Amino acid sequence: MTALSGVTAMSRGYRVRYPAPVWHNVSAHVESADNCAMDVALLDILPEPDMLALLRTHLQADGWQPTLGGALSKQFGDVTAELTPDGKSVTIKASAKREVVARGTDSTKANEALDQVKAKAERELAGRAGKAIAAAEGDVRASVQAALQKVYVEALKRKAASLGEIEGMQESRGADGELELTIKVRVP
Amino acid sequence: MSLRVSVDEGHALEVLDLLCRGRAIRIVPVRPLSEPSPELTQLAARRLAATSMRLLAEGGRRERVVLRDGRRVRGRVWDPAFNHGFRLRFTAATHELWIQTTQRLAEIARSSEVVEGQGSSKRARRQIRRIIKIADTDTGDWLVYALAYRHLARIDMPTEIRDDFGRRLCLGSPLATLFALEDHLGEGGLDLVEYLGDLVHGPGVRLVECLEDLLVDQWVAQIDACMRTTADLRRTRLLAAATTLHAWLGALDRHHRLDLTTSVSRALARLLDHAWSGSPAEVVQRLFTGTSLGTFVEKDALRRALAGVVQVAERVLRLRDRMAAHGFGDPRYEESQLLLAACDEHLRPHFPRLDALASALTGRLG
Repeated sequence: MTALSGVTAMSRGYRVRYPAPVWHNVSAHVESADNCAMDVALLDILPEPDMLALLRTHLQADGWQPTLGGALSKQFGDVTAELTPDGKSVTIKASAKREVVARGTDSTKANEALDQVKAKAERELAGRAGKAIAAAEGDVRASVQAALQKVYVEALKRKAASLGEIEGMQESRGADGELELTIKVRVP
Repeated sequence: MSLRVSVDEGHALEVLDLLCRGRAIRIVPVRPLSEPSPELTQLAARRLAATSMRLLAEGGRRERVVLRDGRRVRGRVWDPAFNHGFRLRFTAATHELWIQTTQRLAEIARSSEVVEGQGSSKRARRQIRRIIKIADTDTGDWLVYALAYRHLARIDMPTEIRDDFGRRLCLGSPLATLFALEDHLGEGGLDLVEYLGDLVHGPGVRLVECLEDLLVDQWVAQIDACMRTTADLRRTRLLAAATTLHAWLGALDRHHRLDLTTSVSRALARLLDHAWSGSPAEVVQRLFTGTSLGTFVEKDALRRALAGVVQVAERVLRLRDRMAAHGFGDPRYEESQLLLAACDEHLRPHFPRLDALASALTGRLG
């Protein structure tokens, strides 16, 4: 600080005007879906339509519901399993969705921020859908396998009955837990 | 015959050896040859004929049962009685392949001929079209093109240009298509089954009979390469391999030569000791190596692409079962007996492992 013409220079106060930003808020709906298909290979003990009808019957008994398109579906936790109308495959579908918001000082920046948030959310949701499928896959397999086992037992009984008179039938479990079915048929 | 050759002529002969035998080029030409002398052309023709015939003779000298006029006969493919109709004919296409490759290989095998994100440059593609003629090719050309495809990996050139070169060779030779297990025929407006059928219903069938061992080696290497190729191409290449093998079976069935499925069965069985060795879970894990597939849909698609190849074994066995219904005296009885024998020897012992692998790849239930 220096003295000029005998006057002591003093600091002056300045008022700085800082405009409050006008935030542009934007939001978007993000959804991610994933699915996993498993082939169903039915043994041809009976004609294919009969085997498929048996499978549908046993799955419906296990809580699978018919859909408008002729498929069968069942909810397993967060995922939906669906047997195609031709019975050739089961698809496990999972989806996750959420709203994301972002903001910026103008619409361009807001949209740029939203794109980043959307990309991150999509990755997270895809991961969540994948985890849901992985968690439910075992249950879906068990449900379909159990139905298939019943289908084969029923189909073998019908086949045996078509060959002759059934004299006896015995169901037991082998040492490895496999179902063993013995049918005695008197062939005329 | 003795002939003094210049450096450029020596280079031209080395190019021929590269195409036919996969030998590396060591000579740097002063000015690549464009018009070979009649003596050099004759020498190249002799070398070409010797290489081709040696390959076919080695494959055809083994005594075996072959199908001739719908009947089984025992002998060697080269026995005069079994070799009627054979013709190994080279057209100008082979000469052009040799001379144009000699002239233009160095020009196209440069990384500057690749356009980022678009593959080969227009100039390189134009040069490739000049090198490889695809119209009116014949059996000799088919063999040379197939050998050139087999030896492409030895040529130091960018992958994009190698792919375009290979694709063009396939358009000019059904045998090269069979070697490559790639389906680019849509570009040429060709039907794959019909195209491969050209190998079976004419003089080309002798090539297939003689090259059984080479086909097995080639397919094992090719499917192994498909499983290791870059992540973004892996699924596409496996799908093309499956399509080509299924089309080949279709062509053999259409022309009543299902006895020639032996090479398919042998290749599938051998893959169990190579690319498909170990448990099905290990194969699936190996398939995903080097990829960054995040979703089930993507993984499923890649698994199913490989399943398409593995399930060729199921198709062969289905054909076997269908052909087993042919009784003595039926038109395809003799063919069916050869198919049954080949299946039971080469494929059936390995089928449980192939079936388990297909189940793992498709998540099969039941």
